[in-house]
Amino acid sequence: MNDDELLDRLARIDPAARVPVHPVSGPRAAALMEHIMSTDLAPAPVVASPGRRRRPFVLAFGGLALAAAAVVGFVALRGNDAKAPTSISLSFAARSPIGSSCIRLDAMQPAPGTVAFRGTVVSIVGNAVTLDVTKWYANGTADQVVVTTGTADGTVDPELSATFQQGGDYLVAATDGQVAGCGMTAPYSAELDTLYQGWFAA
Amino acid sequence: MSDRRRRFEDLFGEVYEPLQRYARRRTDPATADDVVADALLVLWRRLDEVPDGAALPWCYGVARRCLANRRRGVDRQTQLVDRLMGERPSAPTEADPVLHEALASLDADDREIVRLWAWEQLPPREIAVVLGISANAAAIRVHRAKSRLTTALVGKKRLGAGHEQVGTTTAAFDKEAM
Repeated sequence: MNDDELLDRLARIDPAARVPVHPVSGPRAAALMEHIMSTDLAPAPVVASPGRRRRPFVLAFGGLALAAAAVVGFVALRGNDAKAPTSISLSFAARSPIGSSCIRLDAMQPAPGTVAFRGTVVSIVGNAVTLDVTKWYANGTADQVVVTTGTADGTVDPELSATFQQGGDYLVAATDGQVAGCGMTAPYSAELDTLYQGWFAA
Repeated sequence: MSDRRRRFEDLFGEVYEPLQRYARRRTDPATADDVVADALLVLWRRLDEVPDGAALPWCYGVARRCLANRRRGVDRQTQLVDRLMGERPSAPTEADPVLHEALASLDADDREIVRLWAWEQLPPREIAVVLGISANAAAIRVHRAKSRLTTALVGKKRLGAGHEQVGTTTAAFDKEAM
């Protein structure tokens, strides 16, 4: 069977071939587009899962209160306990009705005590995203960080959902247990690495 | 109108309908609508990261991760149901059950690559964008996935012929294949 035959055969079982979609020129599309463009550009703050103390953490960079991507229970391991994993628990919940805004990354100034590292996602099992730390920029020595995405109500923040991929290389920052948004936690790039080195210079 | 809004509107027009088809091929209609909205919100927020000329595969990649996280975000029982729904199209067709079985016999990665190649009609370089891998790696994986599907189809054809020869039905095979 050649490619054309295989394509033709697969096309005949395409489940979307006979399913109408909402037209881009329709009112539904227009409403969705306007709704999206009316949202803030910052990741929404997220509250902790039931069973954890709910703390509406706010990150402050450069004097601006930035919405964090999630409330986390963060245990930054220090000293000689380098083999123990650092645990971060994220809980996805409803978006805050209170918006937030981001400032330019290069204008940000992390709060004292901000934890920052570079890591590779080695597993995503259920709600647990495990990163092997390849470099600590500040306030940590652990080999591994586990980001547990709590899903108490099943709601998922779409931006965070798109953040971590298996095998991906990331720069992650967190303050007071709160993972930084607004582009601070993002796939590795030389540009962001340069900013991290500036922010977290010894 | 700002440049940002104008660019988003242009990309929205480009990806809105294909994204719906992408999602409908992989999950139920309600979840598909949510995934499309999630992906478009990410598009709006990360507009500066969208690669030139590859907005659609970039959005497919975002939708893929949104869908995966939605599945992870529900409790185990619901997750199982959702996954099953995801593996079965929202409007299942009875056509070509052998091909359905062959697809189902592939592992999830190969199955997704075949879908992207055949249903989204993406070349390997765009499949690479969806999966976040290199174009070379994508080309190799597309080739392997197609080969495995063809092998599975041939195997099932032979198995079906064998069943006919011995006068048995394929019911047991069908059940196992699902």
